[in-house]
Amino acid sequence: MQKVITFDEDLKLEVLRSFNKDVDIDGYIIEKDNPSQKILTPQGEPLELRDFAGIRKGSLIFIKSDINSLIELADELVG
Amino acid sequence: MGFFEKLLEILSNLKELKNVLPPLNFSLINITKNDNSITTNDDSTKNLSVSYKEIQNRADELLPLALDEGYTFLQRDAQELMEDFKEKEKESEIKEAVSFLRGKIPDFDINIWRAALYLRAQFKLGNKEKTNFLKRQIMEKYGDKGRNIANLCSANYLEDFLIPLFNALKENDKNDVFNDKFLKVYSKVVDDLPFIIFVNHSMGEEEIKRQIQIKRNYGIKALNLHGIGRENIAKIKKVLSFVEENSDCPIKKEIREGNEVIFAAIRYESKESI
Repeated sequence: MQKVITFDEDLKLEVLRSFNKDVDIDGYIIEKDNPSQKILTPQGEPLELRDFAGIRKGSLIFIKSDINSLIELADELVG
Repeated sequence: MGFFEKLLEILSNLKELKNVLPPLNFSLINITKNDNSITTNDDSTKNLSVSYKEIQNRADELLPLALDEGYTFLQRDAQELMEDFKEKEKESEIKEAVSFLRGKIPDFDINIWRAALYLRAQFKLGNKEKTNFLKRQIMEKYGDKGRNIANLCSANYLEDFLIPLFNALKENDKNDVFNDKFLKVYSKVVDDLPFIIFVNHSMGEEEIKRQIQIKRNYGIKALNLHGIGRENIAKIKKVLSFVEENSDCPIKKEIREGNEVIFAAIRYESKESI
């Protein structure tokens, strides 16, 4: 069984805050303790809250909500 | 104490959870904004909906613990999209297409095609809104190549052109270089669309004429035009009439139209063949 916990769209920020992250004035996800540091996707892109889909283990891997990121995630969860 | 035990402890007021043993009793755990935690049965699966209100005081401890234990956190719409993608990919049409492509095209392109095949499945189901946002996502991530593959896939160029091409090359090749030959043509097609024009809403008639002329300048003798929607169909028909009236050589044209989709083929014939 896949070990996935889902969360409602309007709990994105609460979930992020549980991992010590926050969102800056431009909507980018940042380190709570170091607001100048934007968190990055595995592709090295800064991630906006609106594009945030989830988090997985591997230090912290942030998942983007586009279909290709989800295809990659589906492969990783199976593999 | 592990994540699930802690969660059960927090939700100990839920009578449905009294006899639950960790960790495999629930197919899906969802954290919700709703006020109450509940369990539901969905066909053969059991789901647990956890109210954020009930865990918020211990969320900083509980959620990182779940992550440490290998749980992935996924926003619910994203989870549903991923599950739907996985279901669609089990269908024979997509399964066979992906299986054909693997090993024949660059690995980088495989996931673009998988997304494009899923997009086509949604288009066939008539999910216009979903089709549009998937196409936008593919284009945002992969630029022109993403757009080209999405369009080629939606217009069935995989089944009607690339697979027959590969089979023909394989059958006629005596030197075992058909893979290289195929890859060369494939790359040209997905990068440049040498004989295809996908007309979209942002292209005016003049732009379509310009693109036809560019391809003609490269010596292309056969062109396919595709369009979706009444506006694009009308533009293509007007341009076809213009091309017919102004062509420097005889042309044959074929138009197939239906359900707000148009396919138009132009074949330029040499003057000698009249």
